[in-house]
Amino acid sequence: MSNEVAWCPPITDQGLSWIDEPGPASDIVVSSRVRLARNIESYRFAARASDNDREVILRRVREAAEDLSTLGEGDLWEIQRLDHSDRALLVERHLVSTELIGLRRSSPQRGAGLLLARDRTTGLMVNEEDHLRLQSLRGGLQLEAAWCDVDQLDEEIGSRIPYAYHPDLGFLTRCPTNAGTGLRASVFIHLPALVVTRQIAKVLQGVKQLGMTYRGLYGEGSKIVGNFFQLSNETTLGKSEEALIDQIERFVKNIIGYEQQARAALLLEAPGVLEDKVWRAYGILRHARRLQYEEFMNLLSGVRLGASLKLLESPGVETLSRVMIHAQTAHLSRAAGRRLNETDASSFRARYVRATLKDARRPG
Amino acid sequence: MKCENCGEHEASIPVTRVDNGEAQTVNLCDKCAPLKGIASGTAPHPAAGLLALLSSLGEPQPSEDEACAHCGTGAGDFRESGQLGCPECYECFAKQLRPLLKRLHGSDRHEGKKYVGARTSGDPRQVRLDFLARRLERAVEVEDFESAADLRDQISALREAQAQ
Repeated sequence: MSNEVAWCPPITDQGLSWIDEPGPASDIVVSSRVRLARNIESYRFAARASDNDREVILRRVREAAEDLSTLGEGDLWEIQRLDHSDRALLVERHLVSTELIGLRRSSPQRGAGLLLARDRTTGLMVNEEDHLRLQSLRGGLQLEAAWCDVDQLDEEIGSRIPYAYHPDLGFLTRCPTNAGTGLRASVFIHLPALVVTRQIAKVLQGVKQLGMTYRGLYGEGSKIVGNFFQLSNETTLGKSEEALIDQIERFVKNIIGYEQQARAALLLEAPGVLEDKVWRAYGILRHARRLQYEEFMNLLSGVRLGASLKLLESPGVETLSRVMIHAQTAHLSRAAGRRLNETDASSFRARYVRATLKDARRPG
Repeated sequence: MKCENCGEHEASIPVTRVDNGEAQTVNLCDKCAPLKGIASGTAPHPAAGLLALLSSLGEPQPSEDEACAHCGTGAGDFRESGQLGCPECYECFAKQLRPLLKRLHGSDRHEGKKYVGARTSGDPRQVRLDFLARRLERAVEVEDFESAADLRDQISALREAQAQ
């Protein structure tokens, strides 16, 4: 079987298909992601490997990609061949890490790559911290489905490329924190009512106690904005992949329950305040002439809460997820046809948001 | 107690960090906590802090001149960064790694997927069959009978194709 895998095609709308399939609980859970860390035997880990070895690894992935039946048609980029704005686009779509594009060094490492299926947000990063980081992104709470995507890809790649594996310790990774299953399951979740009712600290404390962790929008070390949290498992060894997925899914369902209760309490006890907050947020988004990304995210959070509670009928949560991606600086720069500085980006952002959110309707 | 970051609000979250082998607790309010320490998990390389902690507890530590024979990663590099240079490092530093893994994960034994290795020859359909069989087991376990039926159909179709 041979697939069509395009080499370094132009970046258009790749990696955004998860938005169109919102999935269960999408009023609260924006997206689910599962990733697997894998390394190839007999090579040093990517950060310590020679340029030549990393290039060989990318080439092997390219060859293997041609006959992966689960991938179907796909795209493969060598990060070094992309210009700065294309790299930033991939980061803003959460398809690659800032490490892969070499944000903290002058340029990406040779052999750094991204392979992505064309009809789903499933693929892998090549030569990041580990040689391979298989990943799948789905809309709403769909960890099981995302796990199924990467599991299947893993079977196929692992049957063609020999992995570094130890019978006792499982899949071997650059950092011992990822060893064993190499699995990180995470959900990107919107918890405005728990924040407003000041219960979030307790919930986050629970996250830590249950061996899980939380981060901001762009992963490790990033700030929490707009009441969006990324929750994920912290341990990867000693449990099966299914047990890890089950555990986090159960836990996320509990948190969804708390958020729903908090939303119901707000609706019951302070409907006027809530409605005011939602429509004020909408009003500013609809009319502002300058929007910094952080302010935008905080206002979007208010509108998203209103959309989830049907306080406003449109825009729906899918539109808001799309706006969240496209209102980032690299996406705005792409639309503007030039690299925007922060001041220009905030004007462009305001203009884009005004145009996209102009048709809000009250229900009924 | 007031928050140790802003000094304004009441502290409600104790955040413990391990730095240079010492556990330090700071008390933060619910405003500062998400922005500060616990917002992005722990130290950049959680393994590094733990290694230092383990050494202070008298767990075996690699001697300075020990190094991985395959990639040359030294014991010092490993202790500082908490990261390994190559798969063989897991054997070289096994004595230090086992207790570290136990601390990090609560276990040092893999319970997940078993890897049978790359197959240079043989029928690629077998890979698919193994995968489907495992998914079927899982579907039955979570009582997803619709998927189970679908998987059974796929398996028998593949087996038939294989037999021909």
